[in-house]
Parts: sequence; C-alpha cells; structure tokens
Amino acid sequence: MKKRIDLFSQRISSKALIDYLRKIRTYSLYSFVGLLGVIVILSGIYVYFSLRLNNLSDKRNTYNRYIVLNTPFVQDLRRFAVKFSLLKSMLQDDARSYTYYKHLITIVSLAPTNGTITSFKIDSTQKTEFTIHFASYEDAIAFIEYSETAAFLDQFLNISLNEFQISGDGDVIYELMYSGSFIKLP
Amino acid sequence: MAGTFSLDISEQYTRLAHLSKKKDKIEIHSLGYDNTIPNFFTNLVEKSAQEQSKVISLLHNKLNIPSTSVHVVLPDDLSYSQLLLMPDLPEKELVKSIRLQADEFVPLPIGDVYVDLETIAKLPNGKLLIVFIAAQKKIVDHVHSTIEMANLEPATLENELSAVGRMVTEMFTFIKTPTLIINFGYGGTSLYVMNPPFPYFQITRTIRIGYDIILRDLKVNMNLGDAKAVEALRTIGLSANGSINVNAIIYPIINEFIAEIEKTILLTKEKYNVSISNIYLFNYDNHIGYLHETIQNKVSVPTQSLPLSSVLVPNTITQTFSNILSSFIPVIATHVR
Repeated sequence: MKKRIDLFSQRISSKALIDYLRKIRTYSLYSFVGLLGVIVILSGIYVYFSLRLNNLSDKRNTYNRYIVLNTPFVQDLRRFAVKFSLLKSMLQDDARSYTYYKHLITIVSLAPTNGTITSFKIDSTQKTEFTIHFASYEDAIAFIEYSETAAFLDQFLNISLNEFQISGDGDVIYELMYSGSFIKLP
Repeated sequence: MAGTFSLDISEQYTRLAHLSKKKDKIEIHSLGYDNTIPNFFTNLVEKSAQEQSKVISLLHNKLNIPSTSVHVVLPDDLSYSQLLLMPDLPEKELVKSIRLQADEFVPLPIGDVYVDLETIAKLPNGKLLIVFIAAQKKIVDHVHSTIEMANLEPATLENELSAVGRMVTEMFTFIKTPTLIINFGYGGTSLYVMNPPFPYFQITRTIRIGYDIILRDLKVNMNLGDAKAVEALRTIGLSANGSINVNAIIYPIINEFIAEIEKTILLTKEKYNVSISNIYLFNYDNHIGYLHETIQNKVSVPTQSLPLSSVLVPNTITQTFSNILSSFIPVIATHVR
C-alpha cells in the first residue's frame, strides 16, 4: 500500500513509547504486588513450618528422654522376649520324655514280671524305642505275653517288638527292644 | 474506509463525513458541520481542546457514525506544503536529504514541526515528484488530544493540499485541460494548477487572503455583527443589487485576490506555456455571493465550484447539502485514502 501523508505518524511513535512505558510501569506495579504477595505467602509458610519444626523437635527431645529413662526396662524386655521365644521353641520341640518315661515305667510295672528299662528314646511325635532287660527267659516270655494284652497295647498307637536278644557271659540277660508310638498324653 | 470517518477542523467550521468508495464514485452516509470554538488554533490550551472535543463528540453522536477511528485534515494556512522534484534515490536517502533542506520550506525551527512526505509519481524524466507537508507540533498535538478527549481514535492527519491533491488526481480524471483549482480557505487561499498529463498539481501557491479577512473587513467597515456579516457576504456578496453595498467594502481585497489568480495564470503561462481553461473553487467559495461570476468576468476563464457531485452517488444527503457541497471537499477528500 502506498505511503500517504500522516502527520500523526511521528506523534504516534512517541505516543507508542509513552504507552509502552506506561505498560512497563503497570506491569512492574503488578509484578511488585505479586512478588510482595509471594513473599508474604512464603513467610507464612516459613513461620508455620518453623513452629511445626520446633513442636516436633520438642516432641523428639521428650521421646529421647523417655527412651534414655526406659533403656534398662527395654533391655529387660528384650531379654524376656528372647527367652520367651526360646521357651516357645523349646516347648514346641519338647518330647516330654520324662512324662513318657514315667508312663512307660508305670506300663512296665503293671507287667507280671520285673523288667528293667535300660534304654529309652522318644521324640516330639511320641515315636519311641525302648529296651527292657529280664533276668530269666520266663520273665521275658511273660512280658511278651503281657505286651499282647490290651492293658499294654492301649497305651500305644502302634508298637512292635523289634529284637529279642540274649547276651551276657556269666549271667544271661534277655533283652526286648520295642519301637512304636505312644498315644499322646494330655 | 467504512471503519473510519473524517474530520475537517478549520478556524470557522468543524466538518464531519462518513462515506464509502464504490468503484469510481463516493457514497456519502453522513455529512455534518458545526462552528469550531473561537480561537481553537490560537489558544492551544486544554480548555479549548475540551470545548472543541464536545463539539466533535456532539456532531459525531448526532450523525450517528458507528466508527470511532478518524482521518483528520488541517487547513493549508495552518500547515506548510511544498512540491519537490527529487532524483530517484532510495527512500531513506530521499527522506534524509529532504529533511536536511526542510528549513527552506518551513519558516520555523525544524524541531518545532512534524514533517511527512509522500512520493506522488516517478516522472518521465526519471525524477520523483514528492509532496512535502509540515505542521507545528503544538497544533498537531492539540488536535490529537482534542480528538482523544472526544473519545475518538486519531488515525491520520494531513492538510488540504495533500487530501484534495489525491482525490483530484484519482477521481477527477475528467480534468483534461490546464485547470486552476482554488482552495478558498478561512485564513488563506491555496492555488493549485493541474496541467494534465502531469500526474499531480504542477504549481501550488498560498496567499494570505481568505474568508476571514474579507469578513472582518466587512464587519469593521459596515459595523455589522458576526451573523449579519456572514449572511450579507453569503446572500449579497459581490452583487451590485444588494440591500447594502458589500461589494464597495470588500472590493479592494477581492481585487487583490483576483490579481493573485491572474498572477498564477500568468506564471503557468510563462513556466509551461499553457493557458488555464477552467477555474474551480472549493471550501469557503459559497460563503461569498457571486464570487465565481466576479472571478470569471475578471479573468475571462470559466469559473465554478469544483464539481464534486460528479463523483458522488446521489442521495438525500447530497441533495440537502447541494449548495455548499464544495465546502466539504477537504473532509471528503481526506476520507478517500
């Protein structure tokens, strides 16, 4: 488009400059107010977190003091916990051998003959092996007969005579070796 | 153009126009005028700008012009114009060299004026025809702030020579013979010589005789009030048969005015060896009765108002203003950009 005469054109350029400067002034004012707002907000956040931090710091000190005061108790408690766990595991693995040994003595004592229990093994599943010595062949046979009675068998889930041995150089000993499982005692 | 309107602030009248260009014709949508406040161009203070802005605002509202962007035209007597023939230089160098010699055309410090120029055409001899326009900064700023006070947007500012020169060369293509176009203004008169096929005015001259000096002469010598003097000039003017003899009072000035016209015709003859075959007047020419006839009788060249109606789409507005249409030529011309 052809350039036409316009005497406002030079004036407009100075007006544009004034407008531009006015815009800068306005934007600067808005920026300053905005910046001030941001500073106020950040200060608020800083004060809030400082107070919160102080509060938490006080709490931490209180808890630290509490921890220091209760250290012996905590150590006792720990020891107790260790012992308790050991006890629990021991009780879990305990075969209660003494109880079952006494129970076996009672069972053997009910027999018409006197035998001596020379070995006894039991595990936590009540699986057992025991050996009984007899001084005479008759006693051993009598015990075998007894072992076939309900009074003997009712005490076991299963029981079998594994070996019948005769040993000894001078005095002969008759040895009966049983293996099986006790009925679980209460 | 539809998004803008135009404003002519002269010392006497403030004129507004809203129009659109349709092919080779101009359709006027609104046309109006009111008195410019007294001393608007001599008392360049905020108060006068405020008062004048009210005049413009009222006129703008009354005419119901939808646009707010305004092209403004200043009278020739409040600006400085010069036609220049320059070598075909790059635009930057051209502007630089013209600015350097601007003090030859403007009788004011160059820092006190706004300067603009327009390249009109490249002539067959390879030179550029340039129109140089300048106006006092304080006047331009005063006009600018006045328009802003009227809640309008100042779009462009030029003077009557620039506006009318453009319109005449672009739209008055029927002018095929050497013609003298006289801008009979308020504070002075500009004389433009059209010499087709030269693409623009070939000679421009400015004289200090305008409507104002004639009106003042009449008021002082006949002891008439403003309104009566205006009315006497318009209705009786240079007629010999008036109820008062206005002619006898203003005759010396009119004679001087006609002498200037003759001088221009002679200058044209001497410089370009052509005879002026038509004289067209516009602006305040219809404010002095029988001015055209008097000039025609004295210089023996057909004289009339610039036939603006030939480029207008006829409507009720052109009919209403048919008697004073030539006074709206600057305001219409500045709209046709």
